[in-house]
Amino acid sequence: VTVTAGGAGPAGAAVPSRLLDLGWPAAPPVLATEGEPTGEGPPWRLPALWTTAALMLGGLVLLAVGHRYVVAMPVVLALAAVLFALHGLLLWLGVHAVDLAARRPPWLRATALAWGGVVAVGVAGFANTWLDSAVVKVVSPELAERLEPLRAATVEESVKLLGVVMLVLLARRRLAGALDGLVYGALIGLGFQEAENVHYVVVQAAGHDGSALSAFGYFVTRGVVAGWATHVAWTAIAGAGLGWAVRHRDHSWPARIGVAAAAFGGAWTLHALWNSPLGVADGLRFGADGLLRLATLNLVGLAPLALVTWLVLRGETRRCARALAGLADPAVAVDAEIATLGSSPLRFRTYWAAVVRGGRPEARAVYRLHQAQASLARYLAERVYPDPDALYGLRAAVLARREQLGAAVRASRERTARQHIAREHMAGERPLPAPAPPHRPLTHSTDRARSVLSGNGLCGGHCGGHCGGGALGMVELTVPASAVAAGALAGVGGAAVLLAGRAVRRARLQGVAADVRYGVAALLGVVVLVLAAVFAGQLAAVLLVR
Amino acid sequence: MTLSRETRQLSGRGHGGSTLRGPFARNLLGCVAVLACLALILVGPYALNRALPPQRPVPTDQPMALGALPVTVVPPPGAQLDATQTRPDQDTVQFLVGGVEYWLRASEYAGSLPELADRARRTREAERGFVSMEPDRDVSTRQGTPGRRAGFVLATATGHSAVFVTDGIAVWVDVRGTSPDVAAHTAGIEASVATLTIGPR
Repeated sequence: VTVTAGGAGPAGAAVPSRLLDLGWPAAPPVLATEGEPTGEGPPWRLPALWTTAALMLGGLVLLAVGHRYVVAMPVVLALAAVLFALHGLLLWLGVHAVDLAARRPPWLRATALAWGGVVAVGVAGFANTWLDSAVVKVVSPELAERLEPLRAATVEESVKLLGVVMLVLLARRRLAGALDGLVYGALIGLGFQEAENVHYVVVQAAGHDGSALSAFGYFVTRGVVAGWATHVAWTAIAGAGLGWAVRHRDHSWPARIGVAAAAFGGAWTLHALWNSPLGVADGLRFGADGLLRLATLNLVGLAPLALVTWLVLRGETRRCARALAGLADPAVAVDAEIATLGSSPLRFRTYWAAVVRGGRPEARAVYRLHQAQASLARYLAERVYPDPDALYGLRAAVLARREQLGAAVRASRERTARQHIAREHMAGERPLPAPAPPHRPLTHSTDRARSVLSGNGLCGGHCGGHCGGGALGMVELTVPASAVAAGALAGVGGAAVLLAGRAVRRARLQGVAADVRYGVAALLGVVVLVLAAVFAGQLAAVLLVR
Repeated sequence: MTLSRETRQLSGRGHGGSTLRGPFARNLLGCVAVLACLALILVGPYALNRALPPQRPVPTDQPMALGALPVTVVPPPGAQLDATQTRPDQDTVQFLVGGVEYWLRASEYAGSLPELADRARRTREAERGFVSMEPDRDVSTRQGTPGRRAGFVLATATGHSAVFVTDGIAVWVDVRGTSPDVAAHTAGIEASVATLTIGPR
């Protein structure tokens, strides 16, 4: 049983058999248009909510007591807060972009962030100080310094993981797998990392001259060089293990505890390694060599996170693809679309093809359709007994997004057709006709949308060659620009890396610490080289399309 | 407003109205477990730290590191380590010699010795009741590290401070106590300051 694709919603649609089995009502309720199926807010009556609120207050008190001296350094504090807030915002937006289903309620994400930045930092700060002091009293400051990696990893990772546990208590059904654990863990780690960075800046400024320059210097080392490979990565890994253990009730207790413990152990090991003399202790203090070591360790920290993320995403997308296939509703997704949703490379190829053919509006429309489909798929995958109202809302969102994609495709096609004709007119081949009518047959655009979604190339000739002409027009515009940009960026980035490397080698030969700015220049050079590679890839893709 | 599943269960509208106790109790139990873990992490170190005496004697015949930076000092005779003001992660150590507080902190420093001496003087001048007892004078450690020293009187104490800079590392020394105590222990503390070593990294 199928539904007319690109229609206005389920009102005039035939209903898939599985939904009828679930009690699909004859007249649908008011439909949601976004991914959130039911609009569930905070569970006000749960003890976990009030416990979390109390702990937040307690964490704020601990932070205030531990940082009374910062009132003397308002400029440094404000600068550090702004810099690291922007730094954290980048990752927040990144998580939002990657998280296709986007069903995590804002209040829960904010709670995760606040747990890391308030409760975890407040508790860990005092616990670390008291443990340090106890070791100093019993043995020596040297031993306290040597034990610091083990102590910090144990205290901080435990407090952060307790945040994931609290989120499970707050919304067990919202933490429905390893991916949720990974995302919430990353947000807790993000809150912790940025708050800790601000703490280090004010401590550093208090120990030095209290100038804003120290805030910027620390931003370079802790924000740019260290990136998000520290607390974000560690807590994401530990959270993924806990999320897996919470969801997989069909596995034995030892297996679930084993996976959660292994993930926590991995996070603990990475943290201890980072704090060891191999990592941050030397890296932040000893010039360019230390920065290079720090950057290397950064990659070491990111590799396990990348592996865990890949495993989690693969499992999640396969689960969602199975759920969507089980729905057997072509209006929601045809087989090719389900295959695209289940594969990150295919999705990327689809976005890229949409960008090349129809520009950002078309790519955005494709992304939003994927988002709506993924939300429905996740909902189906998580619920044994789905709520028909919620299903209606999610399905309506998919259909609405498909309609928007059709409109975006029509608009881009008309635009490129006009450009094509204008070029012919300029060449004196034929007179400029009147603008194209605003609406085209719905099925035509739907075919085009399908073809874009499934990554099958252009519209297959349905539009009379306009799509092909538009694409070729883009090629003419894009090839020289991409080639020049790629060449220029490669030159600038390569020169920066080479010059910085030479300066570091010279300093090493002279036995002096290389200026930290060379490290920053090398990093910027690498970023520019990556951009050059992106432009070169774009060039190759455009040439392939042609 | 749509009720959450948890709320429906709590309010008895989710599954027959008899599940109020189950989820609520489990949730409460979970909260208690989380609070217990947090208490263990926070109160455990606090209680341990409180139970231990704040000072302990240290060997005065061998150098002691201030923290991770390559800075050492030999404590003066009769010195006790004051754990309440010692922060290895901030390369900071405080000894108690009689009633005198002998505090040392090492940190990375890219400036010059005169600049740091100026900063040290300004910091002291900002304290309550500051009176300068002597102009800055040059000093050096046995290792040959140059430094600047200045004596002062405060509202509640008397003492002196010194700063040393070499190889991008600065060490700040602060000595303070009552006048008789400082007078009685200055020689030993000065001898200890002379044993400061900085680097190599």
